Amino acid sequence: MFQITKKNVSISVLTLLIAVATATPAPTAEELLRRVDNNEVYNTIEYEGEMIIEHNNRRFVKTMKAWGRGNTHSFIEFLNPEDRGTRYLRRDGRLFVFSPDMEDVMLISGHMLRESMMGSDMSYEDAINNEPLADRYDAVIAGSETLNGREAWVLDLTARRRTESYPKRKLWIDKENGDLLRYELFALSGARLKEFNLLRAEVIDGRRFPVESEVRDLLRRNSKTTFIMRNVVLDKPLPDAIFSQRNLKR
Amino acid sequence: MSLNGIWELKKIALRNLARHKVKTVLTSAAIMISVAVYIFMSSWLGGMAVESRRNIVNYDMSAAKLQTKLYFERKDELPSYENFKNWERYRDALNREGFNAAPRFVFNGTLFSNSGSAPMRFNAVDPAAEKSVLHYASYVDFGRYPQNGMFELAIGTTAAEKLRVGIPTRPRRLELEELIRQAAQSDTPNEEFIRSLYETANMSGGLFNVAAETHIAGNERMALKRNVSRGDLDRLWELIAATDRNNVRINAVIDIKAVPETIRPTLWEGELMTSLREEDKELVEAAYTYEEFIGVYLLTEEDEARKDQILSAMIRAGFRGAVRHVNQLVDAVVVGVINSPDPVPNGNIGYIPIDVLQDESGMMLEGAVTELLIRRKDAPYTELPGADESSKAIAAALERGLGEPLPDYLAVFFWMDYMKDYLGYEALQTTAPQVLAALLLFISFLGISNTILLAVLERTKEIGMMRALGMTDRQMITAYMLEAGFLGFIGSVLGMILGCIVNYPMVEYGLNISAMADSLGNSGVGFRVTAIMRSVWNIPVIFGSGITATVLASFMAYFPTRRAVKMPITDSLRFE
Repeated sequence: MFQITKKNVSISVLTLLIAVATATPAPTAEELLRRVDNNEVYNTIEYEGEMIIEHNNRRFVKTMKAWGRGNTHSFIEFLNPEDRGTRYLRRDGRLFVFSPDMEDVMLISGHMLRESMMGSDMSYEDAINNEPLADRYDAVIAGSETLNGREAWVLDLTARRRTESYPKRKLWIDKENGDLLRYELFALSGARLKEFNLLRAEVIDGRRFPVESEVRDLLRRNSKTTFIMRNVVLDKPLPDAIFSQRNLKR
Repeated sequence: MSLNGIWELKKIALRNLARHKVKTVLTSAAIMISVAVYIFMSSWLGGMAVESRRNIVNYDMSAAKLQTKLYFERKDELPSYENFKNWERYRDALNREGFNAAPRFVFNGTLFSNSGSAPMRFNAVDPAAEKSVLHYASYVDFGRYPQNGMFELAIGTTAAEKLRVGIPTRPRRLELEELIRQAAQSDTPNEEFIRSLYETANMSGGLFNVAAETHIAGNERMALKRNVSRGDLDRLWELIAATDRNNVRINAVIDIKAVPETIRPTLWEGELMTSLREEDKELVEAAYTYEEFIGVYLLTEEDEARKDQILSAMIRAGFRGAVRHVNQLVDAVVVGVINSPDPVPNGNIGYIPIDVLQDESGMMLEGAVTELLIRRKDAPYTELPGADESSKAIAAALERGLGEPLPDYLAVFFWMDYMKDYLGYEALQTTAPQVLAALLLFISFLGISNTILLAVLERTKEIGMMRALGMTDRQMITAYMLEAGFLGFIGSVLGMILGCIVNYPMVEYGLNISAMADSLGNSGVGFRVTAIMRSVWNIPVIFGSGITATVLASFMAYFPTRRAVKMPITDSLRFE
């Protein structure tokens, strides 16, 4: 029979102290959200990309070269034969496209922002809206789940303002490395509209970076878009000329 | 020249016509056909234009709309954020002044069915009020019109066909078999009932011969029989409604207009300040303060009226930050399919009760509408809105009913203000064929000129003899002009009679173009007509074309005759 002795009490107290000292406290929802936002911070980025669009049993592969600076400037040039010469410039919250067919630059605004970008599962608005999540959403930890063998926190996000494009989001964040493994976007009515899945992340310059991911527009039947980034170079100085209208029209 | 003299010359002219019967008949026939074609074309195109305008007013627009001025400025974009509330007081004021008014909230979106998706314009309506100003609800081909309190949709027949919703009118055999499997649910009488409503479509006689497709098994085109009774259609609709074929989802964005609380410096400098009007810059700059600590421009203005002014300035400048888009997905069920005489309600349009879209399960309207449709209570169905339904008259009536002026941001817009593009297109549509008909008329006058020229050449000796006997050049020219005028007169009278005979059945019965409109996807063949093309009695055109043809024919004789009388009399007498 177990007896309460001085020795037993000492062992128990010691065990408890060790447990408290070694256990990592569960992060708060806000900390997790900040971690997600901070994962995507870089000064500049340059990469070669591939966008594989699968829709209604058809497959389109688009290749591109892309440059970005902070979360305000980016420039993408498509290289695959069908879209060769199509270029996008995002600058100061505005998105411009140069189409070699029209030989003109067009500002994508208003209702056009809701259209699919190059036939993919992403809209133009999805592509340009990148304000930090922590500034726009209130988060609560809804629990933890195992996703594709990885332990993940599940976060429910509710928009702070009623003007948010997706009023609700659900995030799965890797408990070990903070990767955003999956997220779902919801309409105001609560219906699920889109989902994103991280397929592969790599360590680049000591930082984990998502290099292969998949987006599904759930309103499009049998549709998904896979993004693959190759030869990613982070924080290399980029000239201003890349993000200029002249570069778009050249 | 005295009347007596002209009377004598008339005798000569008539005698000449009688002497050359074949020429008289042929030339008059040419004029007759030209006049008849012109009368028919003008009356028919006039009829199409009138019918189109009636359709626009009766099925799509009503007489006028009450809207915000900013909405009207950007109406082609359907800016649903330019809405207004407290519309009930305007409706009540209009009712008191003898007008019906129907609220609408119009927005763009995509409709998803089990088979596909289509971009749509959605009209959120009050069903009862809608029926008081427009008549398309009487043309629900299958099913019924939506009811208040339900997420129900009525959609145009084109959208229904594309999305494979409701009763299919021309399904492939395999599609029909699948429909039978789902709707009949292994009930043999139901299976037989559905099969009995369809027959193999006759592909050979149509506009588009697609007979090659029928060689593939199961790909044969079937067609809903034309003589199916309303009762049978209702029974089929109920069977289909029990499946999930009519379940749809509306994907739209809720556009919300708001003064942004914060603006990033890049947006402030790169977009806002470059697009604002000079007179608005000061207003906006005074309302924001740059907050260095967080690196954004912060809204400091608290006065609501000034905030409204700032918002208007930003919207006018097209500043993206002033309009936010919230994604929404709404489940609904299609309860009716519209096939009206106007192609617009039959297209990619959905009608849904406005009351179910008020909160977060709908479009978060919270009492807002984008327009009030207005029509006089006793307005006859067949008449176009007149002066008593003009924007001025309705605005005056509205202000009388309200007992105060309309708010500055609202205005009444007449249906023609809205349809300027269409009216321009209509003018082009009606003018081009008339120009062709006029060209035909002109060619027939060249024929008259030629006839007279040949007559003058043939009768050169005769002309010389008559001039030698004392007939003056003027009398000579008048005689020939009378001869040509009589030719024109005979042709014109016959042409007017023929034109009226041809026009009569087009006025009384019209031409049913519904099959052609169906095969063209209900596009309305250029005009806003999908069912019956009718002509009108255009009296000024009928008599005007007759008189014009007579006068012109007479005038065409002047130049050849003048040339003939310039020849010396001796030369004329020797002419062989």
